Amino acid sequence: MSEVTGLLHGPELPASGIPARLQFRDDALHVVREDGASDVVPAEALGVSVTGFNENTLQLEWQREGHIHAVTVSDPAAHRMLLEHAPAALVAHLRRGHSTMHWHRRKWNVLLGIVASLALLTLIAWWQSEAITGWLAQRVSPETEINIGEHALAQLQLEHELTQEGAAATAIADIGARLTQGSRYQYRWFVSADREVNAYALPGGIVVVNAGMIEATDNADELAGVLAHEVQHVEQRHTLQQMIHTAGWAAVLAVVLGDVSAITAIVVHQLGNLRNSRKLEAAADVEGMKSLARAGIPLEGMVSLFRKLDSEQRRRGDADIPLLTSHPATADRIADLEQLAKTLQCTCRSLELDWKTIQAETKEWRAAN
Amino acid sequence: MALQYRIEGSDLQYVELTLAPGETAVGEPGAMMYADAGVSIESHMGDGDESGLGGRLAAGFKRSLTGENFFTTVFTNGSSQPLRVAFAANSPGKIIAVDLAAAGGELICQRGAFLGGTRGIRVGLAFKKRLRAGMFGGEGFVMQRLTGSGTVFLHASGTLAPLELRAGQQLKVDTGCLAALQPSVNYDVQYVGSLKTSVLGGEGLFLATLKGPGTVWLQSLPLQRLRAAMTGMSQSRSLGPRLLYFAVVIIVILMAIMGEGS
Repeated sequence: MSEVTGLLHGPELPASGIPARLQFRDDALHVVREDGASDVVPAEALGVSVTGFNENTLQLEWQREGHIHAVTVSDPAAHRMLLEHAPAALVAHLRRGHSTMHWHRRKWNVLLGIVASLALLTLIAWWQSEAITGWLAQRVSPETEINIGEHALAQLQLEHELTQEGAAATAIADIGARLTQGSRYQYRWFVSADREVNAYALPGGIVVVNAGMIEATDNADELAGVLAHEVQHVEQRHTLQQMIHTAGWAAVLAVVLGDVSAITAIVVHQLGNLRNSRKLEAAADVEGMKSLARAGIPLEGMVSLFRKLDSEQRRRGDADIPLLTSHPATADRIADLEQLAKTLQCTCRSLELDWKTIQAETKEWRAAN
Repeated sequence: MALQYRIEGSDLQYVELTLAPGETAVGEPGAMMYADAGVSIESHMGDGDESGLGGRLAAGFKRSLTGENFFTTVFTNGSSQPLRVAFAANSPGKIIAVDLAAAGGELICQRGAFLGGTRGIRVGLAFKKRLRAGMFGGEGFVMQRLTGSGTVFLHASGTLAPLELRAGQQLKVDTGCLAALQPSVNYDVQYVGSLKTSVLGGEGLFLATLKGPGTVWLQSLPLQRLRAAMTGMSQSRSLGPRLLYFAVVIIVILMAIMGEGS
């Protein structure tokens, strides 16, 4: 049966229409009311439109004696039936109407789909942020990396007193040169007049050691341990990766808040305490240890420094040692370092530097600045 | 037997139903004004006649989305004589009774329009799928879909007027004035036509357009307009907004001179 039910509307009928049976036959629409009265409308007189509260009703209308008559069909199955049996002249119009209705039904699915996939993408980006930023960091050209490092250094110099001169800076540069043999970066070593126990690396081969760090170490071997670790952050582009990470979230923030200056402010502000993930820290530890072994510097310095900082942290309680907030020295990590120190073969000799004098000089310089 | 009722008052109305013995009616919680002593009053989750907790919860949730209460109050005449119960409107406006069966079994109303009616009427969700109509039509994306076969009482602020639209007949309506419509009526919005009219015409940027066939019910005074008028009166008359308004008027006049206006 190709007959469908719909509502008939006309000038003398109630506004909501009356039920009628509709059928296409012999290039004409046959309309039969429930009371038996029927009507035949030639296909060429019919117009097709889409109506209803949500564009879900197909309307076929025609004019007679100056009045509009129409039949409306809202059942999707009936729409398909009409489309199948429609005369050739009407098929194109009906199909257009059908696709309009289809689109209004589908539109929300499409919209929800887009929103859901955006949410999913954000989730994946957050979850896999380290892999993504790591991949991006590897894509940055060395020139750009050095450029970023220079800018960060310039910014840093505004806030801190940095020097490349003096016994401490010279000693650091000497130790650093041993640790960075064969590196693709041109390293530069700075001492900062800052009493916080901290050291950090900037992209492109800039390493900054706080005066407080120098004062906290017992000997040059311990400082070498810190340098070896920081050098690995440069070599493996960890700082760059963290900057990209921070900049990425800052960019999201900036888009949300509409403030672009936020990006630069946030990135620069976080330079000193960019937090590397445990995975990156462990990688820097392992490679740092290996570079110490290659340079012939005792590995115990690194281990004893972290052990000392850890107990200092415990003694202080809540007050954080900055190096430890950015480089968490948990018992596990120290144990791992000890384990690694045992397995690495090293023909090491302690660094022969007059550390007490260097520390005294550094303290004096820090006090003066 | 059809529900017996009487609508009282001119602008602050209530409807009094006369329940035959054993007959029940439903009303929105808080809408009842008075009831004869023999009428039992019970609260039900949802529309009052779903079975199962899940169904009742779902119905209640749908109701609350459409501006109604999570619960329905069911009034039953347990006596052997006819008894009265009355529901009052909560704002100045009109109450109308619509026979759902005669209206095609389904009616779409603005949020919160349902006041009460025969038991078995379901309050569902009519989600407006057309983005621009949902955003600018003044009724939002969610409206009420009332289905069933009894009598429903609708309430909206202002005067409620039914208008019959023939097939293809179009009507332009100020946004927010649409109180109810039959599902056969197409509801969309249209840009008012020109910048000049949208700024100076006072109707906003868009007008709702209704296309027949079917009946629509329009309200003369949407609550938000009443509220705007009242807050406007209560505010101190500061010069700032007026200056801004005149600045806009001058800009529009300048643009009209330069060929923008029509």
